[in-house]
Amino acid sequence: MSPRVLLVEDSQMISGALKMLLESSGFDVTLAATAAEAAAWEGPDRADVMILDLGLPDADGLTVIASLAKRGMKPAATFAMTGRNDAETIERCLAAGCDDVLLKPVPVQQLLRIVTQAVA
Amino acid sequence: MSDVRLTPDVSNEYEMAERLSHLEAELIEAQRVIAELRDRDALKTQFLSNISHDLRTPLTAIITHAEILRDGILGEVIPKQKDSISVIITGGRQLLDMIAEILTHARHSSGPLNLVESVFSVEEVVEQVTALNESLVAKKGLTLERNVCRDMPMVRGDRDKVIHVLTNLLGNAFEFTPSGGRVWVNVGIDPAEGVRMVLVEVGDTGRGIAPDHHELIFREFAQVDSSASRGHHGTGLGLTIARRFVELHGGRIWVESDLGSGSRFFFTLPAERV
Repeated sequence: MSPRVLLVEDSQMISGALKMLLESSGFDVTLAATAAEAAAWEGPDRADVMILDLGLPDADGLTVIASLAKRGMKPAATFAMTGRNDAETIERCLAAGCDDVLLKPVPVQQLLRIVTQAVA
Repeated sequence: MSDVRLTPDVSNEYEMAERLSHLEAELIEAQRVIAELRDRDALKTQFLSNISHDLRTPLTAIITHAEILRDGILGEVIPKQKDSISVIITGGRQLLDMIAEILTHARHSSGPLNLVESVFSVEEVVEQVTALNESLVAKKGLTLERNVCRDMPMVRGDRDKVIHVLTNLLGNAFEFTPSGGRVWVNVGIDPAEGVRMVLVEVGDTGRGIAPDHHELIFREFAQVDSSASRGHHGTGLGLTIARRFVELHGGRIWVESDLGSGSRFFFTLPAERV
């Protein structure tokens, strides 16, 4: 079975590109455009990797982690994706349970490497 | 003997009262104008912040799609196509840097700004920032030198903001120094302030800046050459932000330069008291 990626990003232009990228490398990608959609992830099991944009239209992206954890659906690895890489943002992401913070636009090869390593 | 009047001059008092009332009206008007300007400035800041975010999203998509094409993920590309796609990516990333600068300025130009303080070594920051620029230095055929005095005290400040300042000054030095030139970073104690302050110098053998422009370059949106044909493209905000960040630390930033004789930018940061 292909590793499953939950991609949380409100811009279709960005999520479309990343979905295409990850699917071409054999990942099974589910998109969520809002925090509510991401928190409602049905599974059947938890995702292997979640790529999480911080600036979602309905809530701070980081709230998704706690929402999923409450239902025992926290992904095995979570990577925040943000336009800001200051210490404060990084600290906030790590404290919320992210494994790493990726600066947008994430170079495609870097993203593939990180996601592949996470599911290895 | 002069005539000394002890009785109050009624007409003079009337005049004074009238002037006072006039001044009060002027003061109220000035306060109204200041409040209005503040509102407009806040609106401008909000606009810059919104527009920067909205510009960044499609640009991120353009760069990501272009990288997918360049790397042949959707099918093989011939070398000429790859070169062309690489230009899209480089141009896109340059635009993103400029947008990030506008966003940083918008975020920090109004309202209180907090420093996320820690104690760190300037030498490590210099190493980090220069290491990131090694490929650019090699590509441009520049020499980059680092000189850090021995037994330097640690600095107390906001590491990210200091990195921002150094990145900006080095970026300018690389940009304005022609191939074969020299760029250097020196770190020592500020001779004017003694061990209280650490002094960082970023120098280059580039084209230099006329003394008339030494203050102008730190002003918001200022460019020494504002013509459309100028060789340098930037927001004109880099040094404004650098000055704001340095001054927030209680430091100073200035330039010593002349046309044709390179530039030496200096900034100071508070040393951690032992």
